[in-house]
Amino acid sequence: MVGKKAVKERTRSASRSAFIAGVGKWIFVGIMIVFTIYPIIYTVLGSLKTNVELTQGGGFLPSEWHFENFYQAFVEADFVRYTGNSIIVSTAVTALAVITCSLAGFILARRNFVGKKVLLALYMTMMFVSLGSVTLYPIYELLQALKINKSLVGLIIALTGGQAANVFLVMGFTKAIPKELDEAAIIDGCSLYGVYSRIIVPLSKPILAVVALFAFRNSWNDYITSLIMTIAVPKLQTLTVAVVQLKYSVNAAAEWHIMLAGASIAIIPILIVYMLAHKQFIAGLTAGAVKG
Amino acid sequence: MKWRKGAAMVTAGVMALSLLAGCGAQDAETTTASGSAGSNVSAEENNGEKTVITIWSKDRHDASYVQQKIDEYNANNTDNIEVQYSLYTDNFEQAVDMAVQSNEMPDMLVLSENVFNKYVDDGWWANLYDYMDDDMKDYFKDVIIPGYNERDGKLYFIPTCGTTCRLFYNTEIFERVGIEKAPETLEEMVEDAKLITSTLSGEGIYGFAESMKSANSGLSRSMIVGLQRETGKPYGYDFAKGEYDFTDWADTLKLWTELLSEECAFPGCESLDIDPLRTQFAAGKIGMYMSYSHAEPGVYANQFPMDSSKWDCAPIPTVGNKTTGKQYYEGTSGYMINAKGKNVEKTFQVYKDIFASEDYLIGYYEGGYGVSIIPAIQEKAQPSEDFKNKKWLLINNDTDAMLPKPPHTAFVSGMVVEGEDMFKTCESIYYGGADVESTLQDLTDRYNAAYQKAIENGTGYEIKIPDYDPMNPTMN
Amino acid sequence: MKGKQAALRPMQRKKAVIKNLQAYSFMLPNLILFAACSLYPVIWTLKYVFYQYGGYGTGEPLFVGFENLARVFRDKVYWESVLHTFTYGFGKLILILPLAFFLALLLNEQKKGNGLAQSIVFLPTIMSSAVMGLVFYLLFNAYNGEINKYLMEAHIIDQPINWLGKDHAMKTLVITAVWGGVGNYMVYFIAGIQQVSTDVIESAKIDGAGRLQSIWYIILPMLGPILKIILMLAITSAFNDITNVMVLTEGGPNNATMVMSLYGYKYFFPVSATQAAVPQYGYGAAVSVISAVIAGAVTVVYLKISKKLDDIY
Repeated sequence: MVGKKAVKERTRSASRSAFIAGVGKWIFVGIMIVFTIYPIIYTVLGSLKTNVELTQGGGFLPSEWHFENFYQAFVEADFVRYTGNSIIVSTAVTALAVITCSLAGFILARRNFVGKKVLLALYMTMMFVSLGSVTLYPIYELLQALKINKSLVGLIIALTGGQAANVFLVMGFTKAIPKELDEAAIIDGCSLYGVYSRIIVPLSKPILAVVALFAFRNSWNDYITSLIMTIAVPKLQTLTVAVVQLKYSVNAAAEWHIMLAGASIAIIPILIVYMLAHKQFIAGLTAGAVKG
Repeated sequence: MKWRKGAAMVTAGVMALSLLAGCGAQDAETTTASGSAGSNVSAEENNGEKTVITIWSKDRHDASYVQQKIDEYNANNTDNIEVQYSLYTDNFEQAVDMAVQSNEMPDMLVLSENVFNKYVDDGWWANLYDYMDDDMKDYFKDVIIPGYNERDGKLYFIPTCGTTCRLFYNTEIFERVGIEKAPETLEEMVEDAKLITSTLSGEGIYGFAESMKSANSGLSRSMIVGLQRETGKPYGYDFAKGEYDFTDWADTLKLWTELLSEECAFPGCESLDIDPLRTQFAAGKIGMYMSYSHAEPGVYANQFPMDSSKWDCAPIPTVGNKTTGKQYYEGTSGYMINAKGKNVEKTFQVYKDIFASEDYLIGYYEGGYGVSIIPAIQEKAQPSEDFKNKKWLLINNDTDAMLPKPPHTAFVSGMVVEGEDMFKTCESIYYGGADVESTLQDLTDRYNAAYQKAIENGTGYEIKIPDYDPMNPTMN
Repeated sequence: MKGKQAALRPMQRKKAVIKNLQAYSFMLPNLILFAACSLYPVIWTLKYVFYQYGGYGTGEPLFVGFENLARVFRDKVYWESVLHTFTYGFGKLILILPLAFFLALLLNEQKKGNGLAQSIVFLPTIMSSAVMGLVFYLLFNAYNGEINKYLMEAHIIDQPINWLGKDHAMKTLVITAVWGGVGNYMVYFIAGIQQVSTDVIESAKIDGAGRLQSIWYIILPMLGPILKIILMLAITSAFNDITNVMVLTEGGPNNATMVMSLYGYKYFFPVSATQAAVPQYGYGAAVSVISAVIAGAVTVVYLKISKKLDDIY
């Protein structure tokens, strides 16, 4: 009898402590959620407020929804052009990164060739040598010598870069694909190109998706490379650069609502991509970290 | 498994993206061909006969006026010229450097002393005398100063306005706390700032502000200029002796440390740019600040509206109102023409028709974008109330003069100073609490060492004006 | 090897050449980008370490030998910036790791709400740090930033806090870094926790281990491998973070937030205000090379230590 009661007690206290734990959990998680999402909500809601509301104080929600702020940003601050630039640059970088990494990763995983060891060592070294953004200057000089610094092509190349980490990522993934598949295909009369396009590419889609997602994110969000590559030709600026430059523009320095509208234009597309593919972002991150 | 499905979807997306990118890349080329500022060639090819003249500016305060004049010109000119005007802000010099490297220097550039100095010796600037007729030479004769804009018989730019730095103050705030007139000594100024902050900080009103995000930009428009009058040694350079000496900056810096302390200063000066500062001044939150005399009237008339009766300006206070020299004024609103451009002659035509026309210059002065230094304009123009009532907005020969260039600006890149420059060193005193005397001595030593080394390396030369009189400065 | 190759018949040799060419046709697109954007800039930088050079229009590069490197060692501000880099990295680490770990612990189970919470906390990692740097400036600025407004309305403070002033700028920077990174580290931790098999945890529960006990004795030790990766990432990212510093504080005030990556950058791309701001490519190159060596050394030391820890476990 006594034992039964004790068990009952125990389960009750257990469920109570579980309840308390649950409340504690959601208080902590709730605070973290507010912390992470507040700046984003501030940006999006702020972009619909008036300047006075923003700078002199006002409610959490806009008192009136000023969608014309976006019209001003798009038309008067020329954000149509910058949005176009951003879309072109990010998609091109994504495509270029996926194609080059996939080709290189495949051949490094599957073939021995003269100089392979040297190349692998070089790639590995460069992953660990981080000179930072000063390398943008020689890159700019080089692009200029090749006369591609006046167009978005130069920026696309600079942003894509060597992709050493991603090459290793794809290489590792390809190595895990059974070699027998290649061999069977070769016996069936496939060339090396055939093996690549018919066997390897379809099977390495998951890892290529990771490369693509992160290449897209990085190029869409990049600031410094895009800033340097477009300094002499401002019409090539991407959204991030244009948004930060608003701080120094003729009128927007005083017009926070325009700055926030610009910021919203820059973050909303990536938010949408995230909503569609947030699971892949999260899973891709660990794939990259654990395997790379 | 879910992951796989998702991955497949994403891959499909990527494929679609790469398809898009295929067309995207082409778009990129066409956009740049027709859009980029430097591509006059392709633009010319596209519409046959139109000549595109590119102009770069760094000046925000007059941008709307200039743009309007250019639009008018583009609509009305009969020479089939299209002027493209681009405004660069904080990146102006970087942009020019990078453009020069890739041979994309625009046809015309707004006057910037650094840019002018850097490229003048390599023959980048056109000699305006080659294109000017006698009437034009005569019209601007008063602003042609040998050693400044005329060198070896060549004229490189014509300044049409002048600027120097003044103390700007909010008269309403002064009245409220009972300050009767603008401070003349730096000591007085500190007292006034303290008074304002202690009385009105509850309302968010503070005594003093300066745009200290960049020490260089903040001090160049304030302390450094006051020190020119106080010490007679512009930028710490003693022209008579031919050496740097920053040690007599000590008293000024001690008072500036107080000015920038919580007792006086607007919170957040450390991260303030000049435009946000102006918005706060216009909103009546700042008692005093120092800035360029040519820009502020236009700013408060157009950019951030403020009632003209609410502000005024005065000379920058010095320690004990000590005056041993003059403070610099420099020409503004001049333009340099790229001598290596494709259409130098047409560019000059544009320059003459727009920027050197009497109509433009009168409108510029009357609009409050700058203080004219051309006698004919001063005579004809009806400047705004600001310039009639606020005498310190004008260049004053009792306090202001053109100053010669010290070594570190005369050969900009030839003289490499180790460690922090004079601006950042001052910052280490007023924000970092570094010891004033020893820091200034060290600064003096470093600048002199760099100067000597520049001479040794042949990247610089000796600058000395033996009979230099700070009250009547001569150009080098 | 050589003898063997020489003995190959011409046919075979031709085949080998074709095979190699084929391989390089795959390698080439990436190799070109790699050479142009990774290899060449490093070689360029290493060369200019030995020159004084101000860019086009300022005369030819002047060979100065080891002068630039020696100057780095005399440069007090640079070594302060190294110290700031460590302060920044360490501050970020000690805040972000516990927060991320607890979030992971609380949100790793496949329950309703957890997935959504995860996605929200992860959100900042996909945001542009430059754009958000601008937003943070608006939020934190002393005179009419939203943060001060809230704190004053709640009567927590009665004078605005100077968030970007010399006393608080570094803290503010760390807060924004935590904001941008906590989701990232949470996901790593979740991956680690999920590798600890649920069987182990269940059996611990049956054995009567409490929640905290199972965290302390079972989950934490088994997180060893992932923790190593996490620390590695945290260290390398601390050396490379530059965008948010650039946009939010530009290293100021009085270099209080100057980190070593930004210090080198400033000699390449000086912020041009009004007076002479001329690039010093040679000195900037020397600064960057020394910084890279420091970052490399820290990484190597870390790897050594973590290996030693492995042996202990």
